[in-house]
Amino acid sequence: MSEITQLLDRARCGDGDAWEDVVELLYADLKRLARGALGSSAHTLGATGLVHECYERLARSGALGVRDRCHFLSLSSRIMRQILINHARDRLAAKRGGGSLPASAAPGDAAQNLDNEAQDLLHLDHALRQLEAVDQRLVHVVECRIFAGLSEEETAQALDLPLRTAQRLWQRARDYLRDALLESA
Amino acid sequence: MSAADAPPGSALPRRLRLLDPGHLLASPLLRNLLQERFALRELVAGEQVGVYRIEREVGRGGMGLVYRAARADGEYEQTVALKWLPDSARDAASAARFRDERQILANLRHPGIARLIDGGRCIQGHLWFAMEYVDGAPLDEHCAAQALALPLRVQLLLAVLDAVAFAHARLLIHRDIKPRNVLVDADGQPRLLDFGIAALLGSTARPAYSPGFASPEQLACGEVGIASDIWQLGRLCRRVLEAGNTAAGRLPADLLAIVDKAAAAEPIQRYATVNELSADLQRFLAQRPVRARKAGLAHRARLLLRRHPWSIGLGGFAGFAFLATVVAFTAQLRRERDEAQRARATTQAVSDFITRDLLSAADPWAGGRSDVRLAAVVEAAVDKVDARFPQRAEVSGLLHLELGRLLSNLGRQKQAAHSLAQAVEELAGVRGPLDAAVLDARYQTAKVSQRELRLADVETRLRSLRADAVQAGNLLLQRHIDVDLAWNEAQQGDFATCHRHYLQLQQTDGEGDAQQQVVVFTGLSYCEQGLGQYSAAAVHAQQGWALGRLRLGALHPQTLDMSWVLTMAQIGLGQFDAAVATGEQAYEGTRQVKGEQHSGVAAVAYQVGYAHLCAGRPREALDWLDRAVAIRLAVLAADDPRIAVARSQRAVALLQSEQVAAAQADMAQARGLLASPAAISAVARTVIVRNSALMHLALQENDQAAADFRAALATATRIYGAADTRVAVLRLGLGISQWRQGETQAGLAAIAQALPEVTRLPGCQSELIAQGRAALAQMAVVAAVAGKRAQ
Repeated sequence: MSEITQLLDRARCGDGDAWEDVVELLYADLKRLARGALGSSAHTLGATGLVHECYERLARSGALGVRDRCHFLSLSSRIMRQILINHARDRLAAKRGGGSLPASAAPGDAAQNLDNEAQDLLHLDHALRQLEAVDQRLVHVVECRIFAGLSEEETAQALDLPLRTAQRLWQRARDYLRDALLESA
Repeated sequence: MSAADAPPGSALPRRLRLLDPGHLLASPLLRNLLQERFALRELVAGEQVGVYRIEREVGRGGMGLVYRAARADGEYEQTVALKWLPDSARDAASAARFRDERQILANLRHPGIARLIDGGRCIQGHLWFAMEYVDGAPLDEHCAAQALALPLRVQLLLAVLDAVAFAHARLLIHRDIKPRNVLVDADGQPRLLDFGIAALLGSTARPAYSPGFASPEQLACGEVGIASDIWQLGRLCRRVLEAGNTAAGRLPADLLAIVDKAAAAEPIQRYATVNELSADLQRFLAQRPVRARKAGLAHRARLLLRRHPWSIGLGGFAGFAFLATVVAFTAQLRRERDEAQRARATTQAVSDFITRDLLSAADPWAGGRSDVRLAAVVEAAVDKVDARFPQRAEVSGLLHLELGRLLSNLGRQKQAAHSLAQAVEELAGVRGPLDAAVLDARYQTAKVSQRELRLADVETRLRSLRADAVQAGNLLLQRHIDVDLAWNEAQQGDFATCHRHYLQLQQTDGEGDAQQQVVVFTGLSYCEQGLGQYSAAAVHAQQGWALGRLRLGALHPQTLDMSWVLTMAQIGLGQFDAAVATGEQAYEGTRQVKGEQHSGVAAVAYQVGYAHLCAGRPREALDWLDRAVAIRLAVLAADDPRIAVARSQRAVALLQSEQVAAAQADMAQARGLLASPAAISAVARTVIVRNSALMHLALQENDQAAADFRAALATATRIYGAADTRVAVLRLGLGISQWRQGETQAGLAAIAQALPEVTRLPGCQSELIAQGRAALAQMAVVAAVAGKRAQ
């Protein structure tokens, strides 16, 4: 941890190599994140690609934004949310606009399932944006747990919160989101 | 609260499931996203990648797709397995590493390894590799289909192990050993595929490990090294041995013990090297006790009896007990011996890869080539080795010794000294202070000092080492030390002594060692030049050069050093154009072999520049001296006297090109060093002060010129002797300064005395000679006028 902190300090002072090192060190976390997320049977080529996208977005955001490993984890979670929501939106937009879906699009029921899921996800995103007005921390906890698949402990670590607080926030967020999703139905 | 609480039959339970951690990430939506956004674009037949045209898909792996492809540029026919991999990181550093490592892999030639032929990155970012195409079945399927007997399977596995050991010796880890990566070709030879591909992709695209073939440390995303490959080999062995065997699980206990040891959960419990695993398999074939099985007495005895069936029946119980005791005793002895041998084998294997394999590619002394990037690769390899052989002082010591030697040859003296100091410490601790490797490490340390021109330190080290070499009875080392002591004398300007020593060495020269002979010729010629015996020096340099080219090759570093000394001898003889020709050739060769940024290259550039300067071509001289200064600044310590020498020489060239300010700046820098506490040899000091004197003289700063000439005279007389031409040049300069200062009589006397000596050899000082002659002529006119008046 101290190594990362030092590197971040150097990165902030404009040392490009240090930033590379930070990313290298934290990259493993990202991968673990993606791999854990995808389970053993998942499409592994894609898992790598997913991590890449995370990485590239993070790299583009520059060194200044990242404080430490915790922050990195929470950022990754937010990026995962962004990626998934975008995908859901693109999917539904393509369908509405009558645009052709990519060749790999699933047929029949499967396609319907995907659409439903995309729709649900957009609802969740909408609810999350409302939740943001209540307490940003609630949103961050949700991002960690739902979008990055972090455990309670990892979430607490990523957000630099006591475990009990993280648990409490998660409970509150869930209650809120459940109500919001029920309402939107 | 869970999703189940929501009313059934609506979208709600589904929607609320989103709030279950883990649900979203296991959802079809994410999988769909991955497929659409990140999946690898498939290639179709006829499409071209690099120079290869795709024929058909032959496989899909965790890392990418594999196609059979053929060379499409009509150069020659070649079928390759083309691996098509997903997008990867695109930064410059990873691209450079990709290139370097790809080159290393392309050089990995072993009959059991399918070679990497080509590779690259498409515009879209996809990586691809072309590998030798192996048409065959995976090893396990092959064994099953042929219903091979166990010993034959073990033989095939041994061939695979040999290939893996070969690559490990080059610090290459496979990381993805599994049956599908070992194909048996038409000749029945197992061929390992994808060597190093996983590593080549680096951390940016770790492959999906095949189920059952990911080592515990890979699953834990830990450090993956030799031990991980050994684990995978253990799994491979088991799969191959059991393939198609209906009586699976009934492998001999020894074989089971071997595969279990190889695939032990804890790396520390596995075989330390692939060779150890091989050795155990061979013991199994020879029906000897395997290491993996800490076999009891009974087992050992049984094996012995099986190996010598005739002894059964002699026994009875008493006979068996006797036999068992003997067996136990000899087995113990053998184990101890094996232990020692194994330790040696390990260290030898490691040391071998350093010297012969990986590093000879970078070591100019071992016939390889060097450039800066290679040095970087080597330094990266050092880190790998340290990580892979922790807590093994002997292995580590030997590695440090070889790395130190190599780094020094690559011109990285600081890192070399550090590495060698560690080697001495580690090896002396394990093997004792008089062990050959310890002495060698100390000798290399002295060489590092020598290359850094720390002459007093060199002498101290060599003398103390020589005493130990005598005590250890190491004659060869003694001889090397004697040669180096002589060179050190030469560097200190003690030319008479070094000349005498080189002559002695030449007479006692061991036949056959061409490199030593060339070394002696080099030193001899150098010392003769110190003594002003340029003709002899040139003859010896020519002899040494011819010998070097014949026996060592024109690009051997020693041959190149010899041509550098020949360049100097030719300058001494006034054959400036010949010197330029020799020097340019030496420069090209040295640059090629030692890399652009090497002090050896600078040394040659300096001489070529000096030859041009002597021939009256200051512009060309400047060009070469610029190179010498730049390289020396880049590779030597800031206070290294060679920088000051080159600067002072460049100042002279600048002055002759009428760039006075630049010349003065250079000279000021050079002179700054003279005042510093850095150790400067008398030869270097003389050159710097002489050049300073010449500059002052040219600028009409006669007082300073005279002072400098006097200072230079003092050192030059000491090292060259009063009769030497170089001393005469200084006396001539001093005379001219004095004459200009108004010390007419003393000046003229000095000029008159020095001129014939200076002009005896066609030297470098035509300017000075002209000025001296002018002074004398002017004096003659004055005298004649005075004489006429007196009449």
